[in-house]
Amino acid sequence: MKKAREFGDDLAIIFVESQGATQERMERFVWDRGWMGTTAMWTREAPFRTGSNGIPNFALIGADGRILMKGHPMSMQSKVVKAIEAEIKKGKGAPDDAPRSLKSAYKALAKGDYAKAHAAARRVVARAGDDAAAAEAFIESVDARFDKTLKRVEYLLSNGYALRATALHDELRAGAKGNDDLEARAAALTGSMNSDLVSDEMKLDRAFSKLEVKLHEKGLDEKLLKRVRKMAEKNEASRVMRRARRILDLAG
Amino acid sequence: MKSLPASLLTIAAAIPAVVAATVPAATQSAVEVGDEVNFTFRSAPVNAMGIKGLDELRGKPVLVEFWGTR
Repeated sequence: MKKAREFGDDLAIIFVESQGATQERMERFVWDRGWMGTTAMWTREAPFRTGSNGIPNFALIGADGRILMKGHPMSMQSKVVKAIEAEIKKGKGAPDDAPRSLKSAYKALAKGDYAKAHAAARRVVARAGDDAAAAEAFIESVDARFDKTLKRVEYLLSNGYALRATALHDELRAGAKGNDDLEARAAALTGSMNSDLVSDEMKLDRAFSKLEVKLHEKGLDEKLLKRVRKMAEKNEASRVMRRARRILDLAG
Repeated sequence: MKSLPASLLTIAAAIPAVVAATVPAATQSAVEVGDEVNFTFRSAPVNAMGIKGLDELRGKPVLVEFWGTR
């Protein structure tokens, strides 16, 4: 958890519950430990096996999607931290095996500038040199990432995270500026983002998020839960209140 | 969380292999350093904000920690 707080969004942390707990038990455990409110994620689905039978054990995946190290987290702590720092740096540039001609495209993508990344790769394609195929593959990956991020905007919107959805959509629109196709794809969502419904959801999200922060600090405190219950009853139809109802269900 | 003896870190880089998302983890062989991993969760992890696959996290390091609630 210390790493989640220290590295923030630069590092993704996935905790995999490996003792067969139910979803409710796992979530309640996380709340009770005060671990909500960080960027860490929790799941009961193991994405792979590390080969270790003891817990905790870990694997660190690099920015390129390959396993960098695995083992016991406590015995390798300083090595893990160094590797994370190096990968964060690497993730903000181009992969080691990327052609030199695509370095600026990768850098632009790491900054969320999809249009600039596209344009830089297109220039490489236009030169029809040795790197043209790599540049075309890069453009495909940029498009795929853009579309997946758009889907996340939709997910956030329909699951009661209107503020996050709006912020992410704004980032996408800014990153698409200068590329007609990307701009059009981002604009397809603009209508629903600017609706009265989303505006109301944002107000409620703002209010509920403040309460949520207190819950993260104090855990599922009865006084706070009373306020959550009241807010949920008053705004029953709201998407934001789906989050509230999950908390109330866990509290029992 | 329990602290059990750590297994030795496998240093040798293995032949890269993609862990198929459709194969349940229990039936997969263990990953090795250098392997490319890919996985789509059936249910989005708690606090994942819509992220359902490891591929969506490309570009940043991902620490996967196996832990328990007992």
